[in-house]
Amino acid sequence: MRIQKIFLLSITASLAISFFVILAVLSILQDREHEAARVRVYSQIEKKNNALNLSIARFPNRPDASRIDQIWATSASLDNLLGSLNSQDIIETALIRHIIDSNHELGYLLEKLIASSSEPAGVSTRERQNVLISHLRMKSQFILDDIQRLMEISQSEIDAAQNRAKFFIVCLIVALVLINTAISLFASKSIIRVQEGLRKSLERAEEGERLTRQAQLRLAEAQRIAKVGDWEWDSVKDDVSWSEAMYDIFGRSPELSAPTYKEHRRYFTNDSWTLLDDSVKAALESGKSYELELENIREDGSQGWFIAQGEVLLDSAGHIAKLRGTAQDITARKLSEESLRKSEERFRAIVSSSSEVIYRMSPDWSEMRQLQSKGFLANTEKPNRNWLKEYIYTEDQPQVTAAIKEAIRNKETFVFEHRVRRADGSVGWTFSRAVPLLHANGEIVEWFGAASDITERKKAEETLRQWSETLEQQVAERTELAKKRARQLQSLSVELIEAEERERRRIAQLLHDDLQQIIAAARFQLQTFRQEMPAEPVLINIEKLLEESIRKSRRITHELSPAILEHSSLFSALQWLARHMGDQFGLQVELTLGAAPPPASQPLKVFTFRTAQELLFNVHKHSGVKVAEVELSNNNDRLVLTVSDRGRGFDPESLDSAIVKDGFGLLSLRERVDYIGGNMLIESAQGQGSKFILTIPVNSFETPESPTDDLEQVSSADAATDRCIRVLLADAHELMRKSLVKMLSRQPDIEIAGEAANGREVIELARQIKPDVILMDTAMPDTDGIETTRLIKAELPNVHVIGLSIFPDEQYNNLMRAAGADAFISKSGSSAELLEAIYGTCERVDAPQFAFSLLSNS
Amino acid sequence: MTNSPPSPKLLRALLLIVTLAFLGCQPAERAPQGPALKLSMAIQAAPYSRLIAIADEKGYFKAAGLEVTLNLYPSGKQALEAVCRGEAEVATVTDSAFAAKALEEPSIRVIASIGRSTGNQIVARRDRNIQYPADLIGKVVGYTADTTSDYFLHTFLITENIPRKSIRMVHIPAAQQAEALINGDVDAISAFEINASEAEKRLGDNAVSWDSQNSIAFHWLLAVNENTTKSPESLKRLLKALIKAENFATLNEEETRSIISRKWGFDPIYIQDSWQENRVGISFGQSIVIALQEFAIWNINNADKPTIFPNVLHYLHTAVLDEVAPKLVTIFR
Repeated sequence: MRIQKIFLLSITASLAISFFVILAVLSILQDREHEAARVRVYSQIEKKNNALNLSIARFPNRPDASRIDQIWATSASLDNLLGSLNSQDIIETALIRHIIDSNHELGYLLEKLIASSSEPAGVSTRERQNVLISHLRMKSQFILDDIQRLMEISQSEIDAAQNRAKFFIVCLIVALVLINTAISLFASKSIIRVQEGLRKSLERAEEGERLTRQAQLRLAEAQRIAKVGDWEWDSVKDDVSWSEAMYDIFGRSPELSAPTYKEHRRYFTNDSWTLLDDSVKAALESGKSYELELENIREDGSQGWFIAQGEVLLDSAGHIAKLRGTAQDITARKLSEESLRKSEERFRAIVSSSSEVIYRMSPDWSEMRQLQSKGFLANTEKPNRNWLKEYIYTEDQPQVTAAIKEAIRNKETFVFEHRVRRADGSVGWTFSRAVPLLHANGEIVEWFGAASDITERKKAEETLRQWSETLEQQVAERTELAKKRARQLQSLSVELIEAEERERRRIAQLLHDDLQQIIAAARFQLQTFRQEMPAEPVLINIEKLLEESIRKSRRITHELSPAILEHSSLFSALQWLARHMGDQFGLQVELTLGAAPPPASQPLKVFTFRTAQELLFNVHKHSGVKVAEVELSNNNDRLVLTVSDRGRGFDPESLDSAIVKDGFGLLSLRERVDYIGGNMLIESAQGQGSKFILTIPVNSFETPESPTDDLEQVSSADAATDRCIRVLLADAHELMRKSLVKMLSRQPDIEIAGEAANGREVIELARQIKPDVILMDTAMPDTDGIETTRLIKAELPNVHVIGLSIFPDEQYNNLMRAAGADAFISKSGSSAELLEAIYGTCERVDAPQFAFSLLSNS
Repeated sequence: MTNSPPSPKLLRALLLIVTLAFLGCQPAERAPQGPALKLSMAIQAAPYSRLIAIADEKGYFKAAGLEVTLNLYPSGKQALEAVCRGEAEVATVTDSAFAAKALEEPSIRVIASIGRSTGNQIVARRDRNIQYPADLIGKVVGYTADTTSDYFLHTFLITENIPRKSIRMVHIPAAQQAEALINGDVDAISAFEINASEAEKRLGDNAVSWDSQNSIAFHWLLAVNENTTKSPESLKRLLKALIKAENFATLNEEETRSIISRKWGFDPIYIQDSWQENRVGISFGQSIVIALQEFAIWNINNADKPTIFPNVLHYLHTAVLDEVAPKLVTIFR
């Protein structure tokens, strides 16, 4: 139907399109015909015009009447032809109007030409006629030009009409082709759809047939698996039909036809056949159905059991026509029941002879079939589906359930320890173990389990666990305490190092501040006294003794507390130590310092320095060589100090008995290193030198904070005067200050501007009085002379500072120089040196070279 | 026999054929490629030059790829002389002036006619006792030599049966025609349309005038030097632009009047009055040949020395218009 509609529609469309196209083409052709007719008129006009031209060209001086009539006739016919022209086109209309006008003017000129022969003489007739003829030719040609133009326009219209007609015809052809193509397309699609529908119907039918076959096969297979067969018996014809499963149940070869009713006899025990036969007869008589459990004998002689069902089939008249029914093989079930019965008997026997809990569970554990206990748990004689809540402790139920599921899934032994509700209601522990009893087909028939009372064991384990936890806690506490003690020991060791260093500094301070100052003051006074007295040998000896006292006490002070340790880095201190060992003991120390500087911790610096000092002293005393090597490297959080020599060496095993008289002693040194968390490795042998490698943990030492005192910014205007050199004395020792006052006050051009006993007083007085020179003792309380010098020079750069120290050491010289001091004088030096330094320093403004030479000389 | 539907490629091919057929029927007008060509024109500002005014005003020259320079001259004769001097490439000139110049300058060529006019007039002063053409006898008549003014005065006198020797003819440059009459330097003038109109306007009732052309129009030609035709691209573009202007003028008469009045400062009344006397349109008809022949004969007859009659066709260059619009070329070839 659809295809027919499409064809009808396409034919209608084709006809309609063809009709309209033909109409359009006819209309175009009609227009073309009109244009062709117009062209023909134009052609006639052209001919008439040419004829008129010819007549005019041969116009005689004195024309006869017939010629004039001929000219007028031609003109009149031209007029008529022009009068028949019309057009809707604006250009054509304009041209036609021009042609008509020109033709009228042509007539006017003709009249003039004709009349020219009879006009009075003025200009010669011939000359006038020539002009008029010329004008007539021109006018006539203008008309012809316009006619030509009209003809071209008409020709263009004709060409255009032909092109349009061609176009429409092409369009018609294309449209018809398209329509036919579309028809073919749609028709093809429809045919394909019909074919597709037929194919699908066929496939569905085949699929239905296939599904039916599959269903039959599945039914047969299902009957085989379920061991259920069906049969039908035409009691009149004694025609029996069996399904395949029936052959399996009775063990009859499927190649044979079903047995007759009477032949069934041999497949049953006598009792079963009698029962069946009676039931069949009753059914045939009364139409009553039956269901029997019968024992059959298979072809191979084995026995089986099946359930037989039968019912009657009535014909259209309501008479009993057939019997049909099913047979379900229950041999396996019967055997299982038998097996279960025997199992139960065995179970009862085990229970009666066992002291443990014995239980039986259904295959999926949903039901406890039986539980026998000798007082531990309550007995269960009947199947119990609520056993989980009754026997299993609530908190353990999820774990028990999970273990059961796992055992069922794997068909493996269930083993679990869990809490149970005991027969007396209390909570106890049991160790339960159950094994699956499997049927021949692999399915679980039943779970058989035993459970032991492990409550006492569990209690013992809990007590043991508590004891263990207590013990572990005590061990942890003891360990923490030991660590704390170790840290305290480490801290104490560091504090001991610091305390020792403080004590050294205190003794050195005492020597410096008291004894040495007194001796120095005595020496200054003696020198002052000697300047006023004649040379006295006793006084000279006394002065020498005083100088020797100063020198010795200064050396002791220096060894006790080298200033380099206070003011310089560990690298600088070790460099000083290397020089000092060379100067003091002639030991050449080759120093190797790592690229990374060690942390700026004062205790760490002191410990490392003292250790290196002690080991080098040992080298000096015991190695027998004059060369030692010291290497210091910084390995992140650890300093590694290595001191080695190539001397006589020793046995490290004898270290425990080795006692070093001077210094720590190696044993003591190793213990101190251990205390701070480091270690000391000794590599040595007799005659092969010694090597001590100390690893010192950096974090054992706290980094001291460096004191910073901000000074207020004050005017740097120097109040220098040219009258006297104003001197500020900065020394912690009053005796020393008095000696200096006494010595300097004798100088007419030196004025004592003030005195200060500590660094802070020096800074405050310097700001107030702005002295020319400050005599600055390097060792002062509060802020020492080196730091005070640095602060003074930063704030008051025009104030000159001359460092004074009981130590003539180059080390102090350098430190004061670095802090900004202009000169440095030892207190053990002469008063002349001091005065020279004061004068030289003040002149230094204009003569710096002198100042430097003075320093170098001092 | 297959059940597969028609190939989509076939449908696409059919559709393509229809599209191409449709497009093939459409006129394709492509813009010229490359930079604009320069073209210098020497023209007389006159109503019959209006195609040039329209093309310039409406931008048809630019659209055609031309950069046109318009130089105004009082007469076509002077415009043609400018071309001969090389000051311009194209001139607008009457057929009579072209014919006169052709006798001495064989290298000039006509490439098309852009209009026709019948506007030349004889204007006379009534206060010089002139009422009719015959009153011109004994009077001084001004004219511009070698122009339509000259030729049509000649034919006017002949057709009015006035002997040439009975009047005194004086040459007056075209631009001074009206002024000479108004000042009374002459009794009458054979004047171009624009000058005649001005003289009539200024003389008022004192003016009397007659059509001097006997309704015979003169062609308003585009003339070039022969050398210009050797590189015809700019001339083609010129003619294309003027054809476009012709279409515009045909369909937009009022606006056309407004354009030429505004562009060249003509009095709108003058434009209105003279409208019917001027036709514009691109053509190359046989009438050009006839006119040039007639004017050539007249010039030879008036020449002071013997002159060989030229082959008029030698001066016609139809190739440009033939290529642009062949249907407009209607001379016998």
